[in-house]
Parts: sequence; structure tokens; C-alpha cells
Amino acid sequence: MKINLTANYLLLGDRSIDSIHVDAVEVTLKDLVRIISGRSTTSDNLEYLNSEGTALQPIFEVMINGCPLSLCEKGIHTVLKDGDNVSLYLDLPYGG
Amino acid sequence: MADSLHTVRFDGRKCKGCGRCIEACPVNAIRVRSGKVQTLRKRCIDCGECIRTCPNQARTAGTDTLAARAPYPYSVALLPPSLEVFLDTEGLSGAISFEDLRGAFSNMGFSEVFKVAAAAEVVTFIIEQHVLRKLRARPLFSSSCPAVLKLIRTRFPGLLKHVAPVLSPMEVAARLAKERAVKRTGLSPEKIGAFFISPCPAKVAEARDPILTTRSAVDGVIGVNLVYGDIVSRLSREAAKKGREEAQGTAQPGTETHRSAGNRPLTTSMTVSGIHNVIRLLGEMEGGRPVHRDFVELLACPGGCPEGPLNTRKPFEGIQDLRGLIQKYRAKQHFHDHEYLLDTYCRGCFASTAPILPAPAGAPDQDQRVRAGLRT
Repeated sequence: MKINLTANYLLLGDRSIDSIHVDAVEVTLKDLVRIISGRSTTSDNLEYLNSEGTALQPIFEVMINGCPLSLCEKGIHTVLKDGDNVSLYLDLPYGG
Repeated sequence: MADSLHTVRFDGRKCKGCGRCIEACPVNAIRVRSGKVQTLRKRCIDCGECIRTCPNQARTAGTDTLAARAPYPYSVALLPPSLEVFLDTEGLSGAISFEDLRGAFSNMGFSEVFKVAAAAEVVTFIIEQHVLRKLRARPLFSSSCPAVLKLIRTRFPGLLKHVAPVLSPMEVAARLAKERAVKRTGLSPEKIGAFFISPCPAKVAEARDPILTTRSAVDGVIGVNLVYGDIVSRLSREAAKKGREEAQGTAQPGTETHRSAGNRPLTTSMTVSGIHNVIRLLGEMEGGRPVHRDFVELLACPGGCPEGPLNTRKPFEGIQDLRGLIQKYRAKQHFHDHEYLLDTYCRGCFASTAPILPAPAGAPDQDQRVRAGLRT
């Protein structure tokens, strides 16, 4: 399946991608960020998940089809479908 | 609303008629009439989506220039956190101190600099107190993005009760900076000019036509695109000089550049960025969707202020040590102690002084009349 991606950083460390093909029938957001992290060439230690693997690090703002992850009922266990749009933004400072 | 209060400018000579701005405008403020592009001013929220998408630079932001400081004997540059992010991604930050940053702005003629991150800490604390004391409708919306506030006023007035009744970080920064400058110099406040270095056209409009206050303390808003090259050039020279001194063992210990950490002390906060995502969320809330969060930061630019249309590049392009950058911004930075913050809140400092009201309903524009079958 193909997941469309938007990000404000280089998703693969040295380059960005606007979509990713996943060879699986079903993939969750948690799986997706692990796949992206695994394919990264230079930021292979980028931690998307907290140490327990139960939530994304708060520095990431994630939306699935325009819906904030916080409002997705299953959170990081939300199942993605073919053609879904996932936005990943680094949410750094506040105030302008 | 007068044209002078809007900041997005249009140059018809550069427009090739591709229509991208029309597609991108989230509030349908751009139309083609009689073969010419027109902006419906009363709809425009100054979000800058048209600036971002125009491939021909036909749309620009009418910001102030450095010349705006001329009437003021003493001028303060208000540095937004997004500027610090950019400088951090220039590969210079390890060697650059706050003094170097101050020197770079002094070189441009500013008397001093003030970090807006310090004001953001105050604003965050005030919002926290509102949340803890359950003084407002939950969730509270951030007051930091003027484009979003205008959007709510025009399209979602029923949600205005959610807007935090506190001045924006830019306004708080101007007030704090002037207070500090008065103490430092003995000058009267009107001789001190506060100038926000802006990544965003909406901030220009906010200073000219303030939303949560009757009078802005910001005396000018200078596009970051007008000064960024000079700052980096100066800081690069300083970094090179320090590198040489370090090699010779003569470097002085520097003060680390303060970090504008994205402090999120509220446990149930969330950020939604990108004007189309914001519209979607607000539309759902208006339709009755519950949002069980204490605080929602709504930002017009996708990815927030570092993606403001006046920035000259994408902030994180070319950053390979992303992990290091994230670690840096995770560290919380405190500018004020708890007693100061609590006192500031209890005295009502920086509370909004003007009610945020729905945008006045004007006469329907021609397109609305056409849709409503009113064309005569």
C-alpha cells in the first residue's frame, strides 16, 4: 500500500519522500514511523516513540488525513489505509 | 477594513494567471474578475498561503523596513523563536553566543534585542492558570497566530469563547522589552521602539490592527527576509573568528545562546498547524465534535512559525543531525521564576484588554450575490 507523506524535515535523513510503499496488508501509524526511522540513512537514531513505545514523542505533530493524532481514537495504533495522508511536523518553539 | 491594514501585496505585472493562489486561499479571498486577479480584503486573513504558493513572486508581504526605527532614539529587536531555530540550523549555533546575536543586531543599528521566547513563557503560564482555574471554555485556543484569530472571527465566531484572553507573545515581548529598556536607559517609553522580526505577514497586520488589545506596543514589524542574510553573514564571521581563537587557545568562555524551548507544561495540549487543517478542526468543533484537551495551539503555517512565508528557506532542509536538534529543543528553558510569573498573572498583566468579537458582517461581495441569485 502507498501512504502519502508530508513533513517539514528530511524524512530519510539525507532526503525526503512524499510517499512510502509498505509491503503489508495493514499498517499502523506506529509501524509507519518505525519503517521511516528504519529507512533513514543518517538519522537512524531518531526517536519517534517514547521509551515505552506507547506514544509519539511530544515534539512531533502528526495528522492523519488532516486529523490530529490526539483526536484519533486509537492513537498510534490507528490503522492506515492505502492512499492515506500522514503529516509529520517537528513542533519546536512557540511564540512566532 | 482599510487596505493599509492588510499586508499581502499583489503585483499584477508578475502574475501569469496560473491560479495557484486562488486554489490555495483558504478563505476564498482571491478571485478573477474581468480577467484580473482581485483580493477581497474583507475576507483576507493575511495567512500568506498565496505568497507561499505563487511561483512568480507576484504576491509579497508589505512589512516595515529598518528605516522604521528612525523616529526612535532607542530600538529593540524582538527575536521570534523561529529565527533562533533558523540560526540553529545554520551550523553556527555551537559557536555563537547571545552576545554575538546581540552584536549582529547592534551592527544593524538596534540598541538591544529581546527574545520573544521569554514572553511566550509568560503567556504559557497565564494560559495554564486559566486552565487550572477553569476560567474559560475548554479547550483554550492559543492567541499567538493572528491569521487563525482572524479566521475564527470571520468563519467560526461561535468558537471565539475558546480564545485565551491573553495578549500574543509578540505583544507581551514588546511590553516587557520596553519596560526593561526604560529601567536600563531612563528614557521615556515613547522614545523606545520595539520591532518584531517577523516570519509572517499576519504579524504585520496584527501590529497595525491589534486583535486582543486596543493599542499595539509593537512599533514596527520587519520581515525576517530583510535582515536574515546580514545576521548570518555577521555570525559566520564571528564563528570563524572564534574557531581561530579556539585553535590558538585564546577563546573566552561564551554565554550559550538561550534556547527557545517549545515548553508545553499543560498535560493535555495539542498543536494543529496548517490553515486547512485548522479549518477542518474548527469546522468539526462547530459541528459538535468534542475536543478533550485543555489547550490547542492553532497555527496557520504547516509546521508552525518556522514555515512562515517570509523565511528564506525551509528550516530543516539539509539538517542531518536532527536528533541533536531535537534533544536541544527538548531541554526546557526558564526565563522567569515562578514568583514573577504568578505575580504577573495575579495582577492581570498582559490580559487581553479588548474583547475579541466576530468580524463585522459587510455587504455580501459580488460572488456571494451570484451564488445567492441576487445578481442584478
